[in-house]
Amino acid sequence: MKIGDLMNKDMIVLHEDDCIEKAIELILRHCRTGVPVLSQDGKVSGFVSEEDIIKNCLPGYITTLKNAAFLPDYGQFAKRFAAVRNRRVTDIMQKKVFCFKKEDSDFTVAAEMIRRHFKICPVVDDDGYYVGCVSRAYLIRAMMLEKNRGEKKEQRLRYE
Amino acid sequence: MTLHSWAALFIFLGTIVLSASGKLKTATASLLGASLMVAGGLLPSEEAVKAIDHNTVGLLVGMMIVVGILSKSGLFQYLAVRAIKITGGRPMRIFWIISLLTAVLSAFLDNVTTVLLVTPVVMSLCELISMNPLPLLMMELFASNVGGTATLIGDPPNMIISSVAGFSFNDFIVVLAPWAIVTLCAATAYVGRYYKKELRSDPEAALRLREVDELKLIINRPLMIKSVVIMALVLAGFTLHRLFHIEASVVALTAAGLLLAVSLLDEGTIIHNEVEWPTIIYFISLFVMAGGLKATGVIEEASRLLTLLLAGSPLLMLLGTLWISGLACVFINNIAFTAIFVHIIESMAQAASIPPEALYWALALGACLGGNGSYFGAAANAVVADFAAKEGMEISFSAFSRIGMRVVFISLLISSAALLWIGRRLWL
Repeated sequence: MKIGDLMNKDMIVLHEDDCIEKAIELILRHCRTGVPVLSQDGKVSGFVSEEDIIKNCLPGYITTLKNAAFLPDYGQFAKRFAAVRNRRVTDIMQKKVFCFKKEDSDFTVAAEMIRRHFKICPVVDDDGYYVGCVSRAYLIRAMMLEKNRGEKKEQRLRYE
Repeated sequence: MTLHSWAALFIFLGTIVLSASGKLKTATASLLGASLMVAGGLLPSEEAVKAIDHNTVGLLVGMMIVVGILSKSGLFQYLAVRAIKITGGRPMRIFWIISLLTAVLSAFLDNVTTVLLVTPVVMSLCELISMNPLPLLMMELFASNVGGTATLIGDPPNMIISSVAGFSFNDFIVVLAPWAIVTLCAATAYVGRYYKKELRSDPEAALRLREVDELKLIINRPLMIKSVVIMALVLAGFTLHRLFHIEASVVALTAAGLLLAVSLLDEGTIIHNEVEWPTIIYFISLFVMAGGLKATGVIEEASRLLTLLLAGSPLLMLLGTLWISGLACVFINNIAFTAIFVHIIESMAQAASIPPEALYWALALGACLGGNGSYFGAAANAVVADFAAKEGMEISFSAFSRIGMRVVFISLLISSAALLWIGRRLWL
């Protein structure tokens, strides 16, 4: 089955001049782990995930600290978050974004999502324009719906 | 110089330019250069294998595994926090203690690992006490290069020199360590004066240091105990290696094996992650290229020119080696420079009919201390600058070189005095 038939077609997207606060709002409201950023012409120019936002609220040296628990809490995370929230999404977004094509099969998408550790990924058409997105949960949900649809069809045929 | 010599020199300089300009990664450029030399018939393949200094390679691999496992316990970061805590948050005291601690750690760990361990602690505590971390970061990288000068295992140029010159671990401690301490004190005093205005903290924020719980940094206590015991054994092994007629690499590799066995960590992960394979490839390729330059007569020609330039005078040769290597290593990688220059020294000493030992010490001082001059001088410099940039503190090339070149100048002046003493038999 083609991913173009299964994907989530809601246009929950950010634009390059949006601020990080809007990204947080979309992530929370739509229970997403990330949101694509579109350029003016509707192509995917970046991706902002909850991980990107948290990473930017942490100091750059944090990954090389063996354990950050030795530091007392003096509101450092909140302070950094306050400095980050009004910045533009383009400051923190991932610029190299992997996108699936509408014609990709569900099997290819599932395999790539696991191999690349993606939780959610944009889907584009042949010209590279954003058309939707696919998440792990959405992929499973689509499979379940397909299965139910198949079972119902079988029941109907049997009944007839 | 023959056509072969020019070809070998062209290949070697080509790899240096390619890696310095960032067109190719250092390991890739040097591997291509080495392969080209052997495939082009400038160095027979049997000679290429013989040119590889297995002692240095073994020492590097062994120490990378040992240090990789040791740093997993959290001990070094614990020490760094403890050191800062006992200063009570006074900036100048923090500055001195970070300089001393970095130098001591760097004498036994490699410079990059040292700054990778100390920098995050310094930056996190500076943020805690509202202090500008820049002076500490700069001092940290200067101290890492100076501290690395003091021992055989502190800096890769020393490993190469010890292998060629046959110097033991104790030789470095006796000859270079006292001068490294003098240089460190002078450099710390100067850099402290240079950054006097920036060395301030918020006294109220400094009180937060009391709430820091450094014990939480020890993430693997059994590993820490095992590590301390094995590190003590390693140091004992290095001190006694000449007595038992074993190479330093054997001590390092034995310690690596022991630590892998007792640490209970996954050997695949440790060997894969902790051994910097690009660095190992870089070293092997450099040794092959040095073999090529030697076989084609480039080394001999360079040493003839240098001997001529320095008038064959032992004193001029000593100081010349120091200042040439010190200033060259400001701009080019000190490992590549040492791998080649160590052979030039051999020929220079033969040409001038003097014992080469003092010249090797001059090279060790110059190559290790010259690294403080610019970004390119030492790998640790780029690592610290990268940390600073991530926190929005761009250290420009000129700002780095302004203070770095002064530190190099101070270090080379002290080293000149050191060499007058070390090589007194040559020139008196």
